Amino acid sequence: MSLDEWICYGIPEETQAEASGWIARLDGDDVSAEMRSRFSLWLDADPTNRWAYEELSLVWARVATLSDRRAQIHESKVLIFPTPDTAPVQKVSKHSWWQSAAAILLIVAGFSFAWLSPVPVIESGSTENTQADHFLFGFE
Amino acid sequence: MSKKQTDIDVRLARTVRETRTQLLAALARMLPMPEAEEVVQEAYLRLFMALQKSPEIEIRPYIFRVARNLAISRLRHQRVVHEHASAVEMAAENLQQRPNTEHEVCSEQDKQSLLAAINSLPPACRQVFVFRKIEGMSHREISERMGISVKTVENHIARGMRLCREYFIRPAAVVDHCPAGEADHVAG
Repeated sequence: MSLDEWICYGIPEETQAEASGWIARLDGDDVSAEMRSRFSLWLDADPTNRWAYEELSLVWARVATLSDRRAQIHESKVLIFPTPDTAPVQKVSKHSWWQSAAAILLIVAGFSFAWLSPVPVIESGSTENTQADHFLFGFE
Repeated sequence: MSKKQTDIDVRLARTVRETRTQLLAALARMLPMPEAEEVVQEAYLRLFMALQKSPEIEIRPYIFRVARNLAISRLRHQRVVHEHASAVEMAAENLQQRPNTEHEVCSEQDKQSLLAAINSLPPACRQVFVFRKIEGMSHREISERMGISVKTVENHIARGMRLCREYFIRPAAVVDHCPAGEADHVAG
């Protein structure tokens, strides 16, 4: 069978989802006898289950044939965040309250300056533009 | 009648009894019912002939696969006849195909198609595919390397397979929607 538009043709989406889930689980490191038994029952429950499983397995199996094309597979720049176990714990300084207070004061001062500064005289243009410029200026 | 022949007849009759209804229902998703019935009949005939040669074959996988291949061959044939009347001969060759789930040969065209499908996957999904199938890492090793759970590794594999399948059924003009360099975040 080729990897073409007939793969899983006429097979319901939910059956394809179940089949791909089974392929992924059976590909895992720990596959229990109980899991294999449940899989066997599922596989024989309906022809579409078997079709979906066989045809998606074909896709999965053939990925390995691309080992000689490794350079043609796009690099994934996945940003990996540290897990909770390995995340560095940030030490909170007990004297850091004054830094927060200073930051708040600076923000308030910035707003006050912006609000109280005289509006620059602009010879032409709408009032809306003038206010927008003034507002932006206050934050420069 | 020999004992061997009797055994085959009994197995065949039991198979027809156990599988006919569900096989017809499944094929009816692909073909009109009269054609589905023809396919089922032909599949049982092929099973009968196969049992004569190799009585040890696994019946259920065999009959389901034969029926599926016959149905797809019909659909291919109909499409080719519809789109290219002059190519009927080529489609007729497809009708002669026998089920062959073993010793599959991955053609160059399949490789290109698969490569394009893999490159269209979301980056995390693609990375899991590469780690598992190209570099041979276990699910646990992948989960540790990427800072994700083993369950998430499974989910990426399952989703990736379905996305590859979706890629195959898209028109050929569709281009890679996930260019190299795009990054995604994997929360640990």
